[in-house]
Amino acid sequence: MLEILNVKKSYKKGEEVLKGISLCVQEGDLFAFIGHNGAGKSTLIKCIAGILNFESGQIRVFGKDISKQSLEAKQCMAYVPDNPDMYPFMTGVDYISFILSCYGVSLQSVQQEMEAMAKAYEIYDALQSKVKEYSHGMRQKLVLLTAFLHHPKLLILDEPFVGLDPKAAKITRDYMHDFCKKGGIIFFSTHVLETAEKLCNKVAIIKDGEIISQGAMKDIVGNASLEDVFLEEDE
Amino acid sequence: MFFRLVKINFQSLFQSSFSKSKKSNAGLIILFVFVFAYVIAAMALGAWGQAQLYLQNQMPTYGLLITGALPTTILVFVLSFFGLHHMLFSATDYELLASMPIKTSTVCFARIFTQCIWYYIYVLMFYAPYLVVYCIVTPITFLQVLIAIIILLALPLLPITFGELFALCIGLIGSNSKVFRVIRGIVIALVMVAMVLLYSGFGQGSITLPNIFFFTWIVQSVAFVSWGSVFAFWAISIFPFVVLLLCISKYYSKLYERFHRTPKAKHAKPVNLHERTQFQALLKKEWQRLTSSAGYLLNSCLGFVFYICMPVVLYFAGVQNMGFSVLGAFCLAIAMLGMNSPLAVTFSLEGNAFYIIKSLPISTKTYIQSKVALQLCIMLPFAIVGSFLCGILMHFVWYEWLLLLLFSLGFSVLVTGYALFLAKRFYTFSYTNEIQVVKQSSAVLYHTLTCFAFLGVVLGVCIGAMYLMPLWIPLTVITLVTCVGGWVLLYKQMQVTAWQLNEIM
Repeated sequence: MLEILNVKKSYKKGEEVLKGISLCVQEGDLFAFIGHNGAGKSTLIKCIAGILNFESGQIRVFGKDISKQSLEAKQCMAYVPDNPDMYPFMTGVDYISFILSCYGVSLQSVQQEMEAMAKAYEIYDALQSKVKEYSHGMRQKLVLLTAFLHHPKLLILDEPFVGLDPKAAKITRDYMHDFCKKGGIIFFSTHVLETAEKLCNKVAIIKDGEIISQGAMKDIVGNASLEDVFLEEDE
Repeated sequence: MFFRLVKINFQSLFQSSFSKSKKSNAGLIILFVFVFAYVIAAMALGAWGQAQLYLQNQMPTYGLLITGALPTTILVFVLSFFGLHHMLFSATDYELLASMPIKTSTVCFARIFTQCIWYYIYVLMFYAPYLVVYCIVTPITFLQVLIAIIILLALPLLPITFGELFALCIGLIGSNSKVFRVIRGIVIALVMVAMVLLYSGFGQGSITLPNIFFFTWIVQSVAFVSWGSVFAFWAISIFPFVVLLLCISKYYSKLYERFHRTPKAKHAKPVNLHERTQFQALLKKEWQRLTSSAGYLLNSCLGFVFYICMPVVLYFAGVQNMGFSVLGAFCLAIAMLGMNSPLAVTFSLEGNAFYIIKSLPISTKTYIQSKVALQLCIMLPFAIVGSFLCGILMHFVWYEWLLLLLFSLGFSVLVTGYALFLAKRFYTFSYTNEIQVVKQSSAVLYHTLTCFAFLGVVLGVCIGAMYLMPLWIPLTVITLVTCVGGWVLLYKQMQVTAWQLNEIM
């Protein structure tokens, strides 16, 4: 379970980016986190991933406090950033090996799975090339592949569909769906509201650092579309 | 448009160094001025000392003209090889500029012009002090001063041409295959060694390329006021430069495409993941980063390589017959091993990709250990081989050799501890600001200056103590203090850095 309790974060004194955010995401949830640019989506996601510190509140990942037991909390999650700045000097296979080694995953056990996923994403032939030669989409595929590969319990994805071709986007949606079916949690931000509406069972809308609406997708959307609800709430 | 592009090029060169804060910008400008003044003063001091030596031994002072020209030429060649080539073919704004109604040749000219300004600053820093000292110690006319300035203006053109030409050739023959990369590495290493060895030939009256080249053109021009040599020097400097300029500008877009074409997909090769522990994976990452960038490798490991090269150079220069003492070897170890190190800039090099480390279950201890391990793995073999070569070639007795070896090892550890301190002091990863304030140059500067200050202390202590006791006693004390101090500093720094990184990790 992912618990976010009254999290406050500010980059400058007196300018709060997150104004006491509280959320709870259960096992099996596919949680969409939406909001306009600069609302605080990426900041909260980075706080959950243990990248940014926050002033007050608590984030617990399966009972582990991200501030106090960060290694244990990070061990059971994977993070995919909005802009995959990777190590350009590594080859694709080096990157996968590096990340999985850091999680202590037995690489032999995931070799076949890696090959299958890389072929599905159509980057298998590029895995021997340096990351600096990859396009944005290929980098995104590599980061997503690596995130799924070490079987985390919680996946935190910051706009995962940006740069993906339609086929890769479809594969990613399928992987996400399967992942949650097996009891995993996905917490992801997106601007593609149509996808979020179809894919997710829960949603939260953030505006200026505050959650203005959250709950089950069907309850929030009702008979309208998520886009309509979002635009209405955002005004 | 040309000057607008030059301005943009300068902005891109400095954008990483300057921030919005006026205070830090002022500090950085003071730092730059200080560095320039420091180098000029050091070069002038060296030139002055050399001039006095020439005058005492009744040797012609025009040797100064060659001594100043040689390192300047080598430096500009190396800078052109890496810097100009990088700016021409690795700048990220090429595609943006190419899509605009600007001639690619204008873009090319602007880039070369920007780099040339830099190289002329280097020439002023390294060669001008020698010229000034030469003018002071030798009765010289106004005409000779004029000729010297004309020569100075032409001096960097040939090394710029050859540097870029060489980089082009290496880049064009190089491919992504490992064999080509190895060949490329060997060729670069051979050229560098050849240049160092050529330099070592000077001063013995031997017939070496620099002696012939610089004597024929520079000395003839300035010392003997030969207008023929002046024109010839200008002609041989400017003609290849102009040819290169025209060729590169004409084929700039094609060359850019050639360097940036997508490599063919490597089919049929099975992709195997490599099993590693967390520490091994981090160490491999650091190693890959170091070896992937020629600039990083050159900036951080040049001193280590020179610690091996210098005993050979000094041997060929016949220094061992002039009573090269173990104190000289100690100074060499400090100057070369302390010149720079990969660790000093290691945190700032993580840059935006630091989010990867922060989101992974890696303890700060393991993370720091991997960085320290890389530095020691590279530095210690060079320290051992360098001190061994010094001992053999300079005919040291066994205990002198042992002292030098122990000192080199202890000093390597001391440098590692200090570099870790600097790395932590000048880290730059920031997630709230897209424009990161890169403080790498500051870290490197502090590193070099502190090591030179340490050299001064060692030299002062030893020279002072030599009047009271045999040299081996202060050297033994210094070695012991360095070894113990090095380990204590490194241990403490690793603890403190781990604690401080925990605050941000």
